[in-house]
Amino acid sequence: MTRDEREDKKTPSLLDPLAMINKLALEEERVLSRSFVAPVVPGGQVSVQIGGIAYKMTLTDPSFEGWAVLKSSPGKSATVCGAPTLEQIKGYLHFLPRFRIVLLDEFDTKWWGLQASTADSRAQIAGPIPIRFAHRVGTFETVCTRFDGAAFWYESTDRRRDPSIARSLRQALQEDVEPEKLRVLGAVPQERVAYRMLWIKKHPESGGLIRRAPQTDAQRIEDALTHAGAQLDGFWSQGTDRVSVRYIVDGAVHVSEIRPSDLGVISAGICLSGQDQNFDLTSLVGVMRESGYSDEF
Amino acid sequence: MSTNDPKTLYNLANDQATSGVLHLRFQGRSRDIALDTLAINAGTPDDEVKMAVAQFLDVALVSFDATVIERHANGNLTLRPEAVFG
Repeated sequence: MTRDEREDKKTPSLLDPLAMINKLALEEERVLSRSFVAPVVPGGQVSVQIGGIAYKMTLTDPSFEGWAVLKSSPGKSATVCGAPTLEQIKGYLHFLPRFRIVLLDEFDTKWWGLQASTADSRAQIAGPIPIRFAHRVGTFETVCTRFDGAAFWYESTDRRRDPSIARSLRQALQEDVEPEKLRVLGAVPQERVAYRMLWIKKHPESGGLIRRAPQTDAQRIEDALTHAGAQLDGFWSQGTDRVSVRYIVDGAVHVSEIRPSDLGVISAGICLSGQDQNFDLTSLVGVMRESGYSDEF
Repeated sequence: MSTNDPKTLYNLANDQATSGVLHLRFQGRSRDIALDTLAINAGTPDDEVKMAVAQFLDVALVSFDATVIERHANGNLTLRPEAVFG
């Protein structure tokens, strides 16, 4: 027997289910015997990871909200046994990715905000998101949050961001400056979107002047074409998430296959060197114009 | 329609009726951005449009080297990859 074979005999196989259960039980006992820090929301649950498995516990006080030092209790529950120090909270947040958020306002006692940088691909965030435990903050302020995969937890104000920009935006809103006339030096696009949102909130009558986002496939396809000055002539399904669209660009008829879910091009209907997927229906209209091609229909 | 719901407000703010819209097709993804969000208009020169979009996306301007800008009669813009025919 070689040395390696002897070592293998000593180490229990990773696939031994009994050994795995024992190991998990020991780990569970170890973790649950200690107190731990977690953010708690009313009616929510807290969870700890034991051997890579999420172990969920309900709070004995379901109305509690805030950062807490918790201790597990029998029956898969946890009891708040104190408030963590600032250092403990920092220690908890430290392991989570940080996201900068432009704050909007409080809606139903909860602060909401927009991701400050739309280029960040670590999380698919489209639109406003609630920020947990934000306090002593103001509208248009940029704050640092940490994302745990389910919620954004307030960490601090972003000290790198000039606070005078948020102040200028608040003042402009107070003075009813229309979004189109907003001139705030240094304001980034997401702050302008936030401004427009709060301006509409302040002037709900203006919301009626704006079309709602189209809902059906037909509306979305038509809007995509209209954007670029083309007209929808008809479309028909070709199976799951695949439709053929017939449309008119400057009097010329074209037929292309697209995915209705994201309007991405599957087959343009002309040869694009295999790069059809680089385009969506809207951008394809200009390509068709450039090609000068027309289908015979 | 409630205007006290952040998601509704976001949709309204991003909607297209208040100004022209730039349709962006970039790195296989699509999005519409109001021109006034980018602080540009239908007559803004190409290089300034690309600069505004690069800043909006927080990407290098060079990322838009192989792209073209189309200007539509309705005041909208489209920024898309160059097409290679044949």
